[in-house]
Amino acid sequence: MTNEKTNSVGRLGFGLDWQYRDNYPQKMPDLCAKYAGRLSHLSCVSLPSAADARTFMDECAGDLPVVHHLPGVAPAAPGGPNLELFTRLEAVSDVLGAVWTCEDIGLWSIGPYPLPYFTPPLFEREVADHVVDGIRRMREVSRYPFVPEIPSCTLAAGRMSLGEFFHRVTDGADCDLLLDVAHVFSYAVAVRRSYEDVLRSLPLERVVEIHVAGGYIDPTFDNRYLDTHSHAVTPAVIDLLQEAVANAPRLRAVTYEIGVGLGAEELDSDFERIEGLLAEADWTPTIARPSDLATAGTA
Amino acid sequence: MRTLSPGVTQRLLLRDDREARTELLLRLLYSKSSADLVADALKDPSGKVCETTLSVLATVDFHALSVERAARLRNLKRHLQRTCPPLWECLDKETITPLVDAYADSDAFWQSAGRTLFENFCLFAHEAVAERSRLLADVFHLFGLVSRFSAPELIAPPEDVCACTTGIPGEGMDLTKAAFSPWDDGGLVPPDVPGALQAESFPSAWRLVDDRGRLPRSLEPDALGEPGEYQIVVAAFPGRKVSAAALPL
Repeated sequence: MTNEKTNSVGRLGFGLDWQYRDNYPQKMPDLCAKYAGRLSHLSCVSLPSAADARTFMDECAGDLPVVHHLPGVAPAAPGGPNLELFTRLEAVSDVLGAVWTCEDIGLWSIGPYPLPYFTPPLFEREVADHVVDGIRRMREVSRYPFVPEIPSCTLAAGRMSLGEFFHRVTDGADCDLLLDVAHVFSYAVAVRRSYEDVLRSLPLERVVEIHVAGGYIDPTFDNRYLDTHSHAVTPAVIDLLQEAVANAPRLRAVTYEIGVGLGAEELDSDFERIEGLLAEADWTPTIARPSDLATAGTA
Repeated sequence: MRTLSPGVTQRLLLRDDREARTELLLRLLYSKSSADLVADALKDPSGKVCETTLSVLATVDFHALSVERAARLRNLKRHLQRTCPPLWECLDKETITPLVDAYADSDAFWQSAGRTLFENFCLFAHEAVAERSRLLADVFHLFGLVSRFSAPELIAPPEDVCACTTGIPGEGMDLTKAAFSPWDDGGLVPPDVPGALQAESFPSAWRLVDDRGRLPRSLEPDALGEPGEYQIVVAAFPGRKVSAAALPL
């Protein structure tokens, strides 16, 4: 696909992982260069230091706005967010000039050890309130808005639905929401509910960013969806994206998260599919680098 | 082998607070013993389970939970393997798989004795195999010490799980400061290693590391070098470089 097809409007961004910068179909800078003109922004996770963030900006992002995807600050952790890590990563956000920061709401560690794979929280009122408290504490020490992300759910537990939980979180913290449509699908699969119903149950009026990525349903257990980022985007997730874009009035960015197992052709095909969907919906992003930032503690 | 003490899970079931319910969720995801104990308690919960916790646990699909737990154990194995591929080359699947399963189902999984998850696993495995194989115990000791002094683990997720839940390594051990070591040095004092920030050692009847300081990739006699009495020394240098050597005793 050429840039002319979309009139050079960047409608979506890439969601990238700095740890895998050499393992994508092309190296991260080459990948970003290949899609230059078609990208509205970048989102990057696992940037460990300001120096790495500088390299990322110089080699990959250039003038594009950047979302800083945090790696395990974890406001849902039993002891609350890791403010030491969060404060350390503020230097990364500074270099990125982050439009906002985000993170999946879940449990990331057992004691001091990061889990090999994180866990969605118990969907309980007491946990939602704890997350609200954590987001407030993060707000006190950062100049960047934190946007909680709906987590991937291979198993769901608790007496609240995903929608009830995130209404309580976003209302309590009075914050925006990052809607990952593949994660919405994973929850719907896990609880055997219609994915359209799950989507409609969420506070879509608070959504400012949507994530979309590939994955597949576990062939040995059909209520387990694996959000790999390394497979094609399933048709149900594309349906969810279409409906979410139409029903999220404050949506500012759509991020296509890519994994290392994705081939160049699959990546291009899904990029084009998402780009086409957004063009058909006549939706354009409104994401830009912040011109200035509030003083710490007042954001 | 240290197994899971049922007392912890039983106490968590009785507690009426958010932290206890969250820890129970995590234990259900990794520990079969905990899951079995909880399932039994749910059959006759009177006096064994706090009322709120009971209604939360009633939302758990225990069949889906067992599938999830199996997947998480596979992920844990892959994570440990990627952290230290040479260890997996040394040991066959029949040896290592039950050790990882037992680790996830033990108290050690929830107690942070090591600096990293991998070192913690090595501590568990070292103790678990000590009675049946001194060689295996020494191998876990060696790899555990190397992990202790190495760069923090990268927490990239396995390929078949959500890649947007990747993490970032912690700061790692501050090697310029002395720290309590959970490893038994066998009464040996490590030699003074020029330029090293820290060093630890232990006695072994196997050479384990070759003349160039390379770690074993097999437990075949040829790969382990001449039997004898050795002091295995692992030293940490600036820049997170780690070196190992076998000194004849």
